Amino acid sequence: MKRLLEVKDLTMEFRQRSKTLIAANHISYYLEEGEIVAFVGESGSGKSVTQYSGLQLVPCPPGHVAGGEIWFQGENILSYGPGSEKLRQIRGGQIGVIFQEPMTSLNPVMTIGKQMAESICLHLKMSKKEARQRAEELLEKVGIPDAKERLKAYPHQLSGGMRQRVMIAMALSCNPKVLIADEATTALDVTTQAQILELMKNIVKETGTTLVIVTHNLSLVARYADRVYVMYAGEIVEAGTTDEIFYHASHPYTIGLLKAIPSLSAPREQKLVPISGNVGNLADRGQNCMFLPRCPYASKECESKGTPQPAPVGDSDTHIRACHRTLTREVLEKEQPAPQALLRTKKQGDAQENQVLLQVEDLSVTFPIYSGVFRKKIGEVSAVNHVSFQLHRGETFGLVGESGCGKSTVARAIMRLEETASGKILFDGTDITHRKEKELYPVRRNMAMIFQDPYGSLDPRQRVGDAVMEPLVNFKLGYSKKELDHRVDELFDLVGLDGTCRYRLPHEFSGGQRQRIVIARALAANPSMIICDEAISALDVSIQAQVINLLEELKERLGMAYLFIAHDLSVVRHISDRIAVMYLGQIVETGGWKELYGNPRHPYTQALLDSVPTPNPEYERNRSAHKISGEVPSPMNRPDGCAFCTRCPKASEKCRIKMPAMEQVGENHQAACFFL
Amino acid sequence: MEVQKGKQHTTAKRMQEFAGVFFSRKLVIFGFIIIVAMILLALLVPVLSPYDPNLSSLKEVLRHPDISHWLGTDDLGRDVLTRILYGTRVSLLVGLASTLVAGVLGMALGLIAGYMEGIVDSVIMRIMDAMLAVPIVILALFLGSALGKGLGNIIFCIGISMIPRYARVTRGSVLSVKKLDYITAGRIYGASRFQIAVKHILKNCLSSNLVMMTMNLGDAILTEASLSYLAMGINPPTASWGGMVSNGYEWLSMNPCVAIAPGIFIVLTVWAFNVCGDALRDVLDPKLKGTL
Amino acid sequence: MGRYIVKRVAQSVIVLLIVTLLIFLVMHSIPGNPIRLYLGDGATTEQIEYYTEVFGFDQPVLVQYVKWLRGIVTGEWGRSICFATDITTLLPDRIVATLSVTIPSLVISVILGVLLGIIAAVKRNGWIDSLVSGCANIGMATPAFWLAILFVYILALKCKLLPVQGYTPLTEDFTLGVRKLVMPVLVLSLGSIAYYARQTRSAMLEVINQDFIRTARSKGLKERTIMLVHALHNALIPLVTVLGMSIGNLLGGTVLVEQVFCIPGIGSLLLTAILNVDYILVQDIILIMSLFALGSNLIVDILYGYIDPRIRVK
Repeated sequence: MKRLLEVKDLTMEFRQRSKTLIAANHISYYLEEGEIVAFVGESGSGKSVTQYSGLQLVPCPPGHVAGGEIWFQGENILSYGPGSEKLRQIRGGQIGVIFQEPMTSLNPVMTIGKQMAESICLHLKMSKKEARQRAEELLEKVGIPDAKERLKAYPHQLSGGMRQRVMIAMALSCNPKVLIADEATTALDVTTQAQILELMKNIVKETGTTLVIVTHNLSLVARYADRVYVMYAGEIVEAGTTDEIFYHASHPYTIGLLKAIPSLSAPREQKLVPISGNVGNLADRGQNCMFLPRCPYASKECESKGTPQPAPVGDSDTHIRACHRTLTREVLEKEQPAPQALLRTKKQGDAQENQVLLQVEDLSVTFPIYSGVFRKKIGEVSAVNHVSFQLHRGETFGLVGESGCGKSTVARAIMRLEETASGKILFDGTDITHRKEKELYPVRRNMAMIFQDPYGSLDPRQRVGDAVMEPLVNFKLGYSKKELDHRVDELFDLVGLDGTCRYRLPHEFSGGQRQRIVIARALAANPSMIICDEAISALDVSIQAQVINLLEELKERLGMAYLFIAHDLSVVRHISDRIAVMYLGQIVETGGWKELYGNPRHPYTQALLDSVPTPNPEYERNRSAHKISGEVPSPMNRPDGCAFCTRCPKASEKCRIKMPAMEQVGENHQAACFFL
Repeated sequence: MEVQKGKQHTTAKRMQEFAGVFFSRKLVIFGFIIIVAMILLALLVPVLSPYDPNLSSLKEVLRHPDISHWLGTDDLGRDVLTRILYGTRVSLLVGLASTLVAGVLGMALGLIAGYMEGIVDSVIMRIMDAMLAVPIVILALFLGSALGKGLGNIIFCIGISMIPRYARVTRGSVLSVKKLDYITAGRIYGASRFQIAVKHILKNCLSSNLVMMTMNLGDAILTEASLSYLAMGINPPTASWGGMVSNGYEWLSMNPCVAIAPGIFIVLTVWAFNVCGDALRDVLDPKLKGTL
Repeated sequence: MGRYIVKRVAQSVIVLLIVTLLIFLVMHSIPGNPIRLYLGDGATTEQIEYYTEVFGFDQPVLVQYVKWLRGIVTGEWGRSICFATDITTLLPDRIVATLSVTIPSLVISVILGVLLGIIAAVKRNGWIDSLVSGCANIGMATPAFWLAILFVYILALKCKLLPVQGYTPLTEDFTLGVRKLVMPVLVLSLGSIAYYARQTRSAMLEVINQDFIRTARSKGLKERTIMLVHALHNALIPLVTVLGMSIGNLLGGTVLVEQVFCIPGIGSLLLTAILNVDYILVQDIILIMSLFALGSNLIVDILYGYIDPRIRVK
C-alpha cells in the first residue's frame, strides 16, 4: 500500500513563561491509504497534539513546532504558512477532524445546515443549494432521522450522540483522505459509542478513507484498528499491527497498560497490576527513558544508555518498540511480577447470610419542572422509578447504567441529598427516609461518599489535611488535638500518601492522588458503607488500577461495604459481588456477578455487554455487529410500558403497554422482561 | 517541627509564584509604584510641603507654576500641589472605605441570596436590579442629597450604590460553587449549613470579590471626584480632587494648572488601581478574565 | 420567543415599581421641610400648613406614593416647587436636550468601541492591541468632567475651534447647535468607547479559545470568516448584556457633562431639584432615568433573544 502521510521526527513544544514542555518528542509515523490506525495513550501522552500539529491547530503561542516534517501528497505540510491558502485546502478538504467534546465543538448560534454547508461550499465549490442537498445526504448517511428538518436545528437541540454524528458528517463532507477522530466517542455512553465507532468504520471502509482513532482506551481499538501506535510522555513507545500489540506486546508500558485494564474475560481472583507512579515531568525530560521511573523491567543499562530509539522487533516490518531491553517471552515470564491473588474473604455466599446494612425499598425520586415568570411548578420528571435493592455488610454492590439512568440520583437519595418522593431507605435498620438534617448526624457518620471528579470534590482553598480531618471534627468523635493529628497521619498512610503533605492545597496533587485524599476523608469516621459514585472514571487507566486496588485492599482491612456506581461494566465486574443494571430510572436486572455477566437475561444487559470493548482482537473480530440502536429517551417522555421498549429488538405490543415486573430467573438472579 | 517547616516552605513558594505572575507585565510594576507613592505622599504631605492646604494668601492668587509653587496657586492663593496631595488622602480614604462597605455588604447579600434561593433570593435580587437601574452617580447623588454632605456620608453613599455588583457576582459564584462536590461532601461529613456557607462557599467567593474590589477602587475614586465636582461631595475648604477641578474651571483661562493638574492625579491613581486589579485577577482567578 | 418577551417585560415592570418605591421612601426620609425651604425664613406657620396640605405632604407616605404613582400613569406628574410650574411642561425640552447629547454619543461609542475591540482581539498581542488596550485603560480612568474641561481649554480657549459652552436646540439653529454639541458628545463618548473596546476584546478572546473555533479552523475556513462570522456572533451575546447595563451609566455621565457645558438637560435639572429638595421633581427625574435604563435593558434583552438561539428555540 502507498504511504499517504508520513511524519518524520516531529517535535512539538509548549513554551511557557519559565519552562518549555516537550509535548511530542521526535515522533515518526506513517498512515497508509484506507487503513484504520489507532493512537493510544493516557492524558499528557501527546497523542492529540501530534495529530493537530500537521493541521496547525495547536494554539500558537504557546504551541510551537520545533522540528520535523509531515509529508502529505508529496509536500511537507509543515512548511505552509499559518492561515495560508494551501493549509486551508488541507484542513477539511484533505484531512477532516472529529473532536472529543460534541457539546462544545459545534457553534451554538449557527444552524447545523449552515455549519455543514460552509465547508462544502468552500472545498467542493458547490452552490449554497447544492451544498444543502449534500449536507442532507450526509446526515442521512450518518443515521440522523429527518435529515432535512435537522439542517435547520441548532446544536443545543440535539443530544450528544446526534451532535457527534453531525461532527462526523461535517468532517466527511468534503471527501477527505484522512479522518482524525480525537477521542470522538469518549464523552458518549457505551452503547452510543459502539454505534458511532461502527458507523465510522463502515463509512471509511466504503470510501477508502484513512481513519485515525486517537483514544486513551486500549480495548476500544482492538475491534477496529489495523495498526496501533502506543504513546507515552510525548513519544511513540511501541507500534505494530493490532495483533502484534495485543498478543506480542514487548514494551513495558504497553504490557503494563494491558494488565491494568480490568476486562470482561480476565480472572477476577487476581489483583489488577497497576503501573506505579505518575507520568514524569514533560518539562524536565532528562537523559533517560521517560518510562524508567515506572518500569518494572528497568535494568542498569537503562540508566546509562539515554533515551531509547524505536527499533524493529524481530523480523516484523510493522512492529517497532523503543526500549533498551529485548523483552522476549522468556524474559517477561521470568521477571514479571506474579499477579497477586485478590483475597475476598467475604465470599458471595457469606454476604447474603450477613446482616442487611442498607435496604432500599421501592425508591422513587422526582424533580419538579418550573415555568413562567413566577416559576410555577408545571410538572415532574421522575429520575428514579421504584428501585429496590439491599446492600449487605462488607459487600460490594455494583450499580451500572448509562448516563441519565438515575444511578447517581439513587446514591444522592441514600445520602439524603435528594428528597425521596416515595419508598423507603433503611440504613442499619433505621428508617432515614424522612429524617431531618440535624437528626441525620449519627447516621451520616457511618456513611461516606467518593465522587467522580477529583478536582471538584476537594475545597480548592482548604488544606488537604483539614479536609480529611473535617468528618472527625464535625461528628464530634471526641478526638483531642494530638489524636486528630495522629489519626490524619494514619489515614494518609492508609491510602498510601505521605502525612507531611497534609498542609498542601488540592491543586498541588495529581488526579489520582486527590482521589486518594478523598478516600482518606471518606474513611476518617470509620463508616460502614462507602458510596463510590463513578469514583474512578475520571482517572487514567494506569491510575484507575491503582485506585481500584486501593479500594479493594481497604475493604479487606476495614470491612466496610461499597455501593459502587459506574458506567464501565468491566470495572464493575472486577470489583462487585452483586450487580444491578439500571435503565431510565429503573433496575432491569440484578444478580451475582457470575450470573449477570455469564448469563445476562434482560435485552438491555445483553446489549450493554455486547457494546463493551474487550482487549482481544481475535474475539472482537468474530463478534457480530452490535444490535442495539437508538438513544436513551429523555426521562421527560418516558415510554409507557417497559422503559426499554423503544430500543429493544424483542419488543412487542405488550411491552409498549405494560411494565414487566421483576422475576426470579435463577438463584440470586432477577430480571424484568416478558421474554425471559 | 519538620511539618511546620514544610508549611512555611509551601507558603513562601506560593508567594513567590504569586508575585511572579502579578508583576509579569511591566505596566503593573508602574501602577504598583504609583499606588505606593500616592499612599506615601498622602501620609507625608505635612512634612513634605511647607504650605497649609487651607490657608488663603491673597497676595499670591493664581500664580503660575514656579520654583516656590510647583503647580502654581489657586484663586485664594493656596498652593495647588499641596492641596492635591492633601486631596490624595480624601480620594484614597473614600475609595478604600466605600469599596469595603460595598464589598462586605454586597458579599453578604449575595451569599444570603445565593445560599437561600427561593423568595429571599428573589426579594434581594429584585432590589439589586432596581438599584442597578439607576446610574451609579445619580444613585450616589440621590442618596447624598438625603444624607447630607461630609466624609462619612460620602463613603456610605458611594458604598451603597456599588453594592449591587458585588451581590450579583457573589450570588453567581455561590450558585456555581454550590453545585460542586465538595459542598456536598461538607454536608455528608456533618458540616452545618452555616459552616458550609462561611467555610466553603464564602471562602471560595472571596478571591473574585477581592479582584472586583481592587478594580472598583478606581471607580469609587472617580465617583467621589464626580460628586465633589458637583459640589455634592466633600465640603470645602477640605481639599478634594473633584472639588479642585470644579473650582479651577472658573479660572481656566487665567491659570489652567489649577483645574488640570488634579485631574492628572485622578487619572494616574484610577489607572494604577485598574491595572493592578487586572493583574490581581490574572493571578487569583484566571477564569474571570473577560467577565469582569 | 413571545413568552420570553412577556417574561422580560413583566420583570422590568416589577423592577420599575421597586425603583419608585425605594426612591419614594428615601426621599421622604430626608430631613428638612421642602415647603419651609421654598417659602423662606419669613413664612408663617399657617402658610406652611396651607402649602403642606396643597402638596399633600401631610398624608401618610404610602398614600402619597400611591397617589403619585396614579398621577404618573394618568399623566399628572405633579408640580415642581422650586420652578413653580407643572413638571410635564418642564420636562420635554430638557429630555430633548439630554437625548441630543446621549444618542449620538451612544451610537459613536458602540460603533467605535466594538470595532476597536474586535481589531484588538484579532491582532492580539500585537502593537495595535497594546495601543487599543492601553488607551482603553487610560480612557476608563479619565473622569468625564475633567476631560470636558481639558477639551474646553484646548479646543475652545486655545484653538478657538468651538464655542466654550451652552446649548442651542437643533431646530433653532442647526449649525450652531451641532457646533455646541461636538464637545459634550465627544467627552461623553470617550469613556464609553474605552469601556466597550475593553469588553469586546475580552468577549472575543473568550470565544476564540472555545472548541468550536477550532472546529471552524479544522474545516479550512478563512481566519476572517472565523472571526467575523463564528467568533463575533458568539461574542455579541455577553457584549449585548454589558451594553444594556451600561446605557444607564451614560445617563449618569450626562449630569456631569451638562454641568460643565451648561446644557439645560434633565441631568442639570436633577441637580437643581436635589439642591432645592424638590421632592416630586427629583422623583420624576429619577423615574425617567430608570425608565430609560430599564427600557434600553429590555430592548437589549429582546435583542439577546434574537442573537442567541438557545433562548429563542427550545
